[in-house]
Amino acid sequence: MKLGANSVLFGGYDLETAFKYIAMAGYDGIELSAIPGMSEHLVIDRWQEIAPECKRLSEEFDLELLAMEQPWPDAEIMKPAFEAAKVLGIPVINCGPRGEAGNEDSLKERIEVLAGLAELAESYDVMLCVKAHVGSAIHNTPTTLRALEQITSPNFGCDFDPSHIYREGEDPVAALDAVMGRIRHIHLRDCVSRDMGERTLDANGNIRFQNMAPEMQINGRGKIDLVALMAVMHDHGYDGPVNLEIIGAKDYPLADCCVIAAESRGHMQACLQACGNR
Amino acid sequence: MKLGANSVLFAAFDMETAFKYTAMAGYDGIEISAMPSMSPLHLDVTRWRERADEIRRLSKEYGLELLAMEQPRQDPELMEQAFQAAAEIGIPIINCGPGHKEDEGEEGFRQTIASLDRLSRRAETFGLTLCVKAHVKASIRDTPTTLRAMAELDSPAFGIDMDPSHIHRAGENPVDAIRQVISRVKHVHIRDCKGRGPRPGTPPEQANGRGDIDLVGYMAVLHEAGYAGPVDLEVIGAWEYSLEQCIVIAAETRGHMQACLQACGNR
Repeated sequence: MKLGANSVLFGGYDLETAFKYIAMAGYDGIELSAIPGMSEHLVIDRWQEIAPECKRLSEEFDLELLAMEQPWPDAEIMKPAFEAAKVLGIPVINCGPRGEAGNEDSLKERIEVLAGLAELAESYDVMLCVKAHVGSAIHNTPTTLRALEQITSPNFGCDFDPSHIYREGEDPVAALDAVMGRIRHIHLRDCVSRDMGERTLDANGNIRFQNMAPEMQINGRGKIDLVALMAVMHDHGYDGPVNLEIIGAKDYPLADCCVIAAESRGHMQACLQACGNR
Repeated sequence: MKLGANSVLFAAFDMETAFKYTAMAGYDGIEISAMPSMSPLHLDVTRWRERADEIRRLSKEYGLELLAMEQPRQDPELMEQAFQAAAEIGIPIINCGPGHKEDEGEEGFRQTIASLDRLSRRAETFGLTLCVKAHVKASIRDTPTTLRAMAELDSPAFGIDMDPSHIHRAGENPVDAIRQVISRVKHVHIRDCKGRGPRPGTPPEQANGRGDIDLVGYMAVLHEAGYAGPVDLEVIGAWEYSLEQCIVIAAETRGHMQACLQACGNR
């Protein structure tokens, strides 16, 4: 397995800062954030301008470009994202499913859209991954399995994120086992509660959930059995990227972001050592 | 088990910085460095009365239990002040080094035992525990010399501070070694180690999980033995490192220890 972190953790800082401290924390690679509003890292509208910097930083800090997160499943935005990925040698693009949970029409429509995007991904020789996301049309293991059954493109895979599955009331270890054959990327973080808690706005107008503060998402601080989860990945021979994805730290001091990155990497390292993977 | 870090990791920074980032990294407690040559801004036991209130305040403010103090020298006068400081501030354990060198032979070992015997009996009167660890190239340096010390020191105030990085560099397997001495272990100093030494590697290489020691197995043995005392990260030599690098070492190690404990069902 290749351990990485999504640069969005350092969303309040420039791309070089993200590379520097992700490397310092001992990760093998990085997932580039192309998430507007949360980071000014890989800005898709300006990707040709930013690409040389991404390549330089990858070499200088010895971090493999493991994936890109471009969350919008929209062909107009996804086309330049695929182009950027191809040029930069990024093998995986992660996006969200969108749509509405519990709405059959929405699920069908989302699967159709994702199938189209997966065909587009084939032409760029890039893997498109989507994850079950709380509140979206694909939001749990049954809806993930529906999408995986109906989207047969070899360039479509599951981005497994246990924190969303956990909040759906499922056991992420059992869920991982069910979808393992189609997993091409893993987003990892912990979760302290199945209930996100009270929703508030912070001083900068950002939405905050009581139980979802970034420091609560550090691997090992929550309730997900990440030791068992990583053992299942190992047992299945998964050797793809496992990227820490922590949303919401844009306004955090650098030291706090360093703690989140490093503590999570230490936890992942021990999980892999415990199951004989490292 | 109680997870902590020795403040010497933040040697170039003041004590409040050490408390702040040790707490941020999720530790349960802290070991106070009383090594003025390595951490001049932390505790100097010759002036402990000037710092006692501050240490108690920082402990309360950052929610960090005062797990131990490292005062490495066996000088009786210095240790007396360390005992007074620990008793007054509320620090239950003092860790020291074995003193005499390996090349002083049997005579050096005998002197170490005599000194530790006197100091342990003095620790008893303060209600404290004095721990010593096997240290590379010292009179107590491996499991056989540790077992000899255990056999000869009968004070209930004496304990072993088991540091796997020194045992690893003595050519042993720390997972086997800890089983042999666990009955008298009252403190654990922990860090990883690249290679067999004599140096343990750079400070970043000493972060748990980056080296060659089977720390997953080591923590599992501690758990199986019912050990419930402090496990303090001790990384020496980060004096010239940036604050962020020190934070990364602390946090990465805490994450690794947390997973080790979760893997064996301790947390």
